[in-house]
Amino acid sequence: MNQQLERILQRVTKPARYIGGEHGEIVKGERELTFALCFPDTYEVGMSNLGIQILYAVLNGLEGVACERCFLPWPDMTAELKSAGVPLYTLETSRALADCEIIGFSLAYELSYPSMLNMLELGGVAPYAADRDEDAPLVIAGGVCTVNPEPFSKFIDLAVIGDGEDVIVELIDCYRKYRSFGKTRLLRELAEIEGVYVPVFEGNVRAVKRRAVRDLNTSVYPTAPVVPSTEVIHDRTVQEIMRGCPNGCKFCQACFTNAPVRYKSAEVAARQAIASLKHSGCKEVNLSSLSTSDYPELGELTDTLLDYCKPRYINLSLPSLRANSFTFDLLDKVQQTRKSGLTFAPEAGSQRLRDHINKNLSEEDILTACTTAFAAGHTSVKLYFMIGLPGETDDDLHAIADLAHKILRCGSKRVNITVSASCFVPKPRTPFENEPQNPIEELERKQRLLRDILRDKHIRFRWHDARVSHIEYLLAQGKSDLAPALLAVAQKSRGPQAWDEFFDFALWREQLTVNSEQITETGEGQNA
Amino acid sequence: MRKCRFVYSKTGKARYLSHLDTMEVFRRAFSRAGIALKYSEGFNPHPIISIVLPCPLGHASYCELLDVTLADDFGFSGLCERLNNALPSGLTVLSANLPIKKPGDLRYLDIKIELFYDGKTPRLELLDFAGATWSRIDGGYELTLNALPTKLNPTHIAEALEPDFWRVTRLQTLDADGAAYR
Ligand code: SF4
Repeated sequence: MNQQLERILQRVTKPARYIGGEHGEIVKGERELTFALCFPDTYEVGMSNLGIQILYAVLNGLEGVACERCFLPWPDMTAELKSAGVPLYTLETSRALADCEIIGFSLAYELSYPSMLNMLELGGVAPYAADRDEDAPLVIAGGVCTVNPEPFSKFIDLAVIGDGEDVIVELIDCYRKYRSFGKTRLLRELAEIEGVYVPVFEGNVRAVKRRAVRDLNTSVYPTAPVVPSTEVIHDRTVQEIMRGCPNGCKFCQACFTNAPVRYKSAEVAARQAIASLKHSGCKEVNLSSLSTSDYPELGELTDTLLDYCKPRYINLSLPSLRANSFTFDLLDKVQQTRKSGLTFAPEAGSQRLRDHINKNLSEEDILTACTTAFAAGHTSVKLYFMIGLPGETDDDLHAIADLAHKILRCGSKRVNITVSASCFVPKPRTPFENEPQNPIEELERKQRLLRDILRDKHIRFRWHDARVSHIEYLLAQGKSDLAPALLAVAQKSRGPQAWDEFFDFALWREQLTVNSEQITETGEGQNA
Repeated sequence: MRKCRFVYSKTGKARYLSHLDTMEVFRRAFSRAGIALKYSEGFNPHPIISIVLPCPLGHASYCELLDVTLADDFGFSGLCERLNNALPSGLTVLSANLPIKKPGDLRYLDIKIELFYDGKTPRLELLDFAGATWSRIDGGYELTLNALPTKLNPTHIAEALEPDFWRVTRLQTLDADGAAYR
């Protein structure tokens, strides 16, 4: 480590997130190309992302390719790097982003777009693709946000639509063959790869076939992941068991962009999970999927894993379960309920609206589950709802409160309920993509209404900032004319916009008003 | 069941690991190395690990002390090697011993401070205080302080000398008699 960097690290908060050197890190000597794998959020957030760990394993599995990680520095580190003139670098070998051959961003949420631009600029790379010369790195993007790459299309050379692990191998192959032919030729060849969208050719992104890994049992899985030494949100390894979700809730982007549903066999999943635990030494393994209850071999898998985990004090965590009797037996077995509490996601308060959004969960299911749970000694429940759904009326909001009160009465003793309400964001490629979003004032009125009718000392009500959801909506549905606004927000904001403490609505409104026609003076969306 | 005290070094990148991070890193390393630790009783069992007088974030050390209780009567030989294969860059276990002295017996430290000055010349008389020896190194000065009471913070000493950059390295832990504390 050079002294210039040491000096910087001495002054910043949590310096350990800027140094790499973790167990499982791969540092390659001989290399033909360096792929900077970037996540436009902090180290802590990025290192918990399964996609990053998968791509890290896939890319480093290729001979001659060094895949090195890079994350968004916290504002204090950003300021230090700028004032010292040190470009943003990869953790493995401190290579400036500008000196890497390919820079790949994983875009998982809209508010991280400005952070991507911050990282490029800090790394010494011109944010606009048109401003980058022949020798500049190829900038590519993947992740769930590429279902609509238009808002950031001017900054990238190409987007990968769908699962990345197969495409990236083909992409590297093609890059090696055509890199010496100049960027235009290279991009033309890359555009031939299924699942690759190249914005300069101005094609229709909807015509690009989305990639989906066929068999999760044979695709590369990171059983020797990088184990962060610091600041991790969870001390756990993640074991993917299925991709996609059979439920088809009409607002759900994850469901429609991860189709078809693919299952990993319990045998493979258990083998991988145990290998990851041995490698990492973590005290928890998390079975990851969009809807764990729909995994056909859940019983077998948890039995096998519990045999391994119990004597070693390792926890097994099962998120995204549906409330039913099988679930309760399971939760009893893994003894997880006490720790994590019970959560349900009815999304809408009334059966009518749940049917309308295709959320397959009945009031009876919820109440039976709660009664069983409370009888077994549980004392708290979390309920997730979405407000502003298409067709929602105030009756549906009252139904949320009714449901909460009915749950309170399911227990003979005192129980506590947390009601959490997010705001509906119409996302591309979902059945609801063309539905309007409620204006901010309307969402806020609904939040106030809920707060009033949920007043009870055993109910805690939490809600999402409607202004954040509004900006998410504009970005999710945005076109390429958003580019100047995104860059301006990146340059003028005080920190990452996905963090509440830095989210700057006034700045977004100002930039979106100046730079495009997408927002009105009052901050209402075009469809409002 | 057997108590064990490891002496380890914390240098290079590992200097930036906080005390809590370091404990977690060790816990995971024991697990990876297949060295079972004794767990606490109770609802949320956790392995019993403690670090005697951990050096501050950013400081390097060649004499950190980690106390654990091994679940089995492992022999100490071979433990270090297994653990070192499982530790991240910058953490190296140097020896494993039966802890004899109590944490309170650790009284003094031998410390090295490297001081770097950009342009301005330091007031050399400041370096010339009792118990200190100093020498020139590339770009600055190196100060060695022997038997510094543990109550004194080396950061304050370094900063009082007004360098543009400094590094502190802990060289040795000593007991009340000035003998090596292990
Ligand atoms: S169950 Fe969850 S993941 Fe599946 S479609 Fe519904 S909201 Fe999406």
